[in-house]
Amino acid sequence: MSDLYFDIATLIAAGLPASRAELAVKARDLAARCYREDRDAIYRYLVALGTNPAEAQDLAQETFLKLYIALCNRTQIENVRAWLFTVASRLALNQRRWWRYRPAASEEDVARWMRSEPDPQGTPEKALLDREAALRLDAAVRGLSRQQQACLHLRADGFRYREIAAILGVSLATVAEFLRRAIAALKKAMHE
Amino acid sequence: MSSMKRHPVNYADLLLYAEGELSGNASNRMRSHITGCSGCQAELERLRDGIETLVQFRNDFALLVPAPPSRWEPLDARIERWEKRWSVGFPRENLEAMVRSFYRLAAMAAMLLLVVCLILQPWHETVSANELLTRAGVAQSKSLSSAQGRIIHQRLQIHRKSGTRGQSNDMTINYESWQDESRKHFHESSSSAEINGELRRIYQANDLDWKSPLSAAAYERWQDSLPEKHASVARNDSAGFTLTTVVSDQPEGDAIGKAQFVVNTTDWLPTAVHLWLHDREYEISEVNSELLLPSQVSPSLFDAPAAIRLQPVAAKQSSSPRRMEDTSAPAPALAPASAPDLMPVEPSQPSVAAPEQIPASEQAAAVNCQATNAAPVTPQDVPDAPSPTLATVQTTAPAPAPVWTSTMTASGAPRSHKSSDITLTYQPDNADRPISGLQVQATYPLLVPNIIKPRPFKAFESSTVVISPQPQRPVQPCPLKGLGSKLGILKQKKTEPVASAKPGG
Repeated sequence: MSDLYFDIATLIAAGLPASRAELAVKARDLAARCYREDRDAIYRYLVALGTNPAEAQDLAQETFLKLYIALCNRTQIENVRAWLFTVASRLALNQRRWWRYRPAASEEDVARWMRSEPDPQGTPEKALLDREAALRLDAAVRGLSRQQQACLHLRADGFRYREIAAILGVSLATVAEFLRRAIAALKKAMHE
Repeated sequence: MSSMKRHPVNYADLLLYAEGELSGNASNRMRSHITGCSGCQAELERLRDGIETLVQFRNDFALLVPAPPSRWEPLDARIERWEKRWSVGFPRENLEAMVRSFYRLAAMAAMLLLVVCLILQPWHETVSANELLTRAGVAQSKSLSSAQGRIIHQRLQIHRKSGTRGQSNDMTINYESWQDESRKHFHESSSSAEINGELRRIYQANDLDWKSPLSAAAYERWQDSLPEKHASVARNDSAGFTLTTVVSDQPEGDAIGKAQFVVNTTDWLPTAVHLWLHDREYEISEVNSELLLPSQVSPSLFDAPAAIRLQPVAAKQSSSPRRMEDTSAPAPALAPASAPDLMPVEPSQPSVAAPEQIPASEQAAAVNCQATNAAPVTPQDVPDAPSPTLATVQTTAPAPAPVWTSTMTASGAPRSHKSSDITLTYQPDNADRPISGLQVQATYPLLVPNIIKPRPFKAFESSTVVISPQPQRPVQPCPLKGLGSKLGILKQKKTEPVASAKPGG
């Protein structure tokens, strides 16, 4: 995974094709590779931020479409993966754009999504056990603010604090503070 | 925990340290602090544990997240759909498609605009003739009400078209007038006395008001007085309305055959009047009008003879339904019967052109009259004054021949709380029929303050005024003679008990 993004970063740094037609082909290829790599991560991230599954899938696709457009326009992107999460964060957090209003998901909605469709990969017994614990933790996390939740998931997705700060447009200290609170909330829920 | 509060390390920094997010220096400093601080060590341990929990949570969370509702379609499909939708696959390349989509947008916007216009129909917005005049009148009186104590300076351009086809005789002149609203002083100057005189005559003949040539009220009165007319309103080119009043195809003499009254729609103030007579037409348009402070005009402006000139009415027998406010002389407002304009219309002097020259005695009389009126007369001063009816005033002095008496009837209805139209009809004793249609607009504070101001009158009832000339005064063929007698009456009235001055109303 990091290989892919390293490759892409190198490629962008080396310079994209000068010809527009070639650039379009290249952009399409790069975006498609990123898409295969991280569409699930983005999708999960969007769901974690309270987007309903169908919408989340659509927005995840849109995120990669935007990457394609950005590459076509020769937008300077240093960290493609962080860029993707930035776009996804905006899509998920800015719900109150007049042309696209999505009401925030209610707790019942979230609980309904989470309980439906158990993951087919896990063994049934373990999955059941883990799910109970995870649901409790998830409920605790839902009590945090959207940005705090976003911090938590981005950290869990392996982003550095500075990257999280850039993705969410907040300061490093804020990220640390948000994460500290998220950790406190999680631990509290664990010990209950 | 409480010890933590005192030292400069907070948990967030500790977390950064634990995560290896601090820079080298800060990290070293933190490490050296933690080695000596048991509280921080414990907290650090807790945070590391928490991070583990966090990662664990994320793994568990993956189990919770429902699978995507549908299969992931290839990104290419999405890209193609998007390109098709916008027809701009490559933003800078497919310029043609961009232009096409721009046109599509423009066409949509135009359609929308068209629909809005069809619904609102701004070009159909119009007013009735009455509404136009009413609005203009209101606008004018509003602007006049702000003129208290100021001098209204109006500049007009008058264009006259005369002569038949072939020989045109066009002429454009400038005209200026100054009017002192509080004292009714008036001064005019015009670059052509001829046209000025013509217009003055025409205005008088048609019961219009030359002192405010663009007066909406006067126009309305004129229009109302016409037995037959056709009035229509249309928008004009300069964002205003033009009221066209067609009276007759073949007007005679000074009668107006067709008139236009132009207002602008921003403030509804009249901007021009266009008059058609049988052989010529006049276009009177306002260049500008302004309010001047008395100090801004020459103090002698109104001292010119024209200013205190009691404007003689062209003495036609049937003539001059003139309006009271037309008189240059301050209206003797004391008694309603004292409409000074009545005097000039003297039946004993039919069709004698009134001399412009005013006898010195008459001038003096006018001034005197003004002085009389200067003292405000309250209803208490004249107990009968509050009555809305006109007073009857009779002099008992033996009248020398020819006796000039007349009966005057007034009727009218309030126009507004500030003014009223009063139609005065009077019948000279030696005339067979009453001379009627003498219309007066009484503006309460200015013309008949003492009578009308105390209470809004409901209607003017008829009353009679018998006016006899003072015995001492020789009867002169001067229309102004009446004023002199009136003055005498007024004086008499002031001194005498008022009982005789009130009719049965």
